[in-house]
Amino acid sequence: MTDETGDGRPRLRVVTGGRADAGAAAARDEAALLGAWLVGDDEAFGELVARHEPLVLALVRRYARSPDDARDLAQRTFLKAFESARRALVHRGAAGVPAASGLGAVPFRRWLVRVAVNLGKNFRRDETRWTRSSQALPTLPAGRPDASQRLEDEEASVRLRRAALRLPRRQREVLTLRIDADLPFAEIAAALGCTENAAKVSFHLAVKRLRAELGKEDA
Amino acid sequence: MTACHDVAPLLLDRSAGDLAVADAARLDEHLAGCAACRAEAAALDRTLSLVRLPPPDAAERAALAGLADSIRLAQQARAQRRAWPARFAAVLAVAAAAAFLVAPAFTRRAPTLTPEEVALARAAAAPASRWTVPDPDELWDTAGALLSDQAASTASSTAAPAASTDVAATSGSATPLGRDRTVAIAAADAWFDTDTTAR
Repeated sequence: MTDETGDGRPRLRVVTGGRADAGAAAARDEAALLGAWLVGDDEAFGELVARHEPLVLALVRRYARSPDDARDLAQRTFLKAFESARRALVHRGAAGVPAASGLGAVPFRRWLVRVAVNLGKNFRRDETRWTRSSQALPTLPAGRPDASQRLEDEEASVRLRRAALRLPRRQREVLTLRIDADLPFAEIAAALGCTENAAKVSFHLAVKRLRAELGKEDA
Repeated sequence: MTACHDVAPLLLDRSAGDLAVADAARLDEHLAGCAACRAEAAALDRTLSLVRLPPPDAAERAALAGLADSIRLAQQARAQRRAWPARFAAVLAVAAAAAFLVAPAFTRRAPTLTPEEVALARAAAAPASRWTVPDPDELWDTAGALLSDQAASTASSTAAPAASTDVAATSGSATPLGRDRTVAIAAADAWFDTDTTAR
């Protein structure tokens, strides 16, 4: 690892090996964390889960009936992704590729996204906590404080969330990856195995359908 | 000013929160002067805000507490389940090896024979049991071959000289290695051959 010194010359910095402390573990990159996890580093495992927990929760909670349901889905997502990572790393280890070499690093985050999307596909339910009117409303544009408007928005929200679950699969996946997990279109495309432009077209079509649903209500 | 159809894709990017910084200024300039596009942008904002989920509440965050621990436990349980077939195979292999070693003790039982079979077996074995290793000297003595040459000088045996004299008298052979002697040599060879194969 090299740093630039004040006079522009590179300076070699030696990073000692062994078990790093919590602060240093946060700085380790994903490949190193996965390599450490594979050999039983419990701290690396905890770091991997903590790092991706918000993403996984954001992806699965739309399909969950309850917070416990969301936890169950999140756990299953992690288990499947860790299992895939273990298989890939063991296979590469058998092939002589060091786990933390960065050579063809395991795309753990992308696998988490794919697994969560697939679980969502299998768990798609019309009745979730978000399609019941008693749930809290999302943050709406300012300037609509009156009670009747709030009730109207709540009903529209329930309808649109139901409509989102009934979207064609690819449109639903792109929509939820974008608005639930805030993934950039480039990452969505990589996770779903399509081009960025195709992902944007799917998003456009999804929004068009939802607007049509909203138009029905307004009409 | 930029045309409406040029900024239409940017309106969706903006509502999706994915508008490139380079396009933001161009879109803002257009929106400032175009009421129709402002209405379109507001409609898109409303649609996407209605379909979004609210951020996780306290109950949701509490339900996720200790997720790493439960994943770890589930992994351990899975690893144990995966280990069962291997353990079963190991136990099976040990049991098979033990059976291989112990089985002969049970399978090699004494034959149960009827008295008739025993009698037949004894009769068949009788000549072998009576057979003894012949003494070469006695063999020669019985054949009377060598002794015929020494009949006069040897008086150790009483039957043999008589036999040899008889043989010599009946055969009328003057040669010391007569037919009987050849038979005796063949018998000795046969004995050695038998002894060799027995060994």
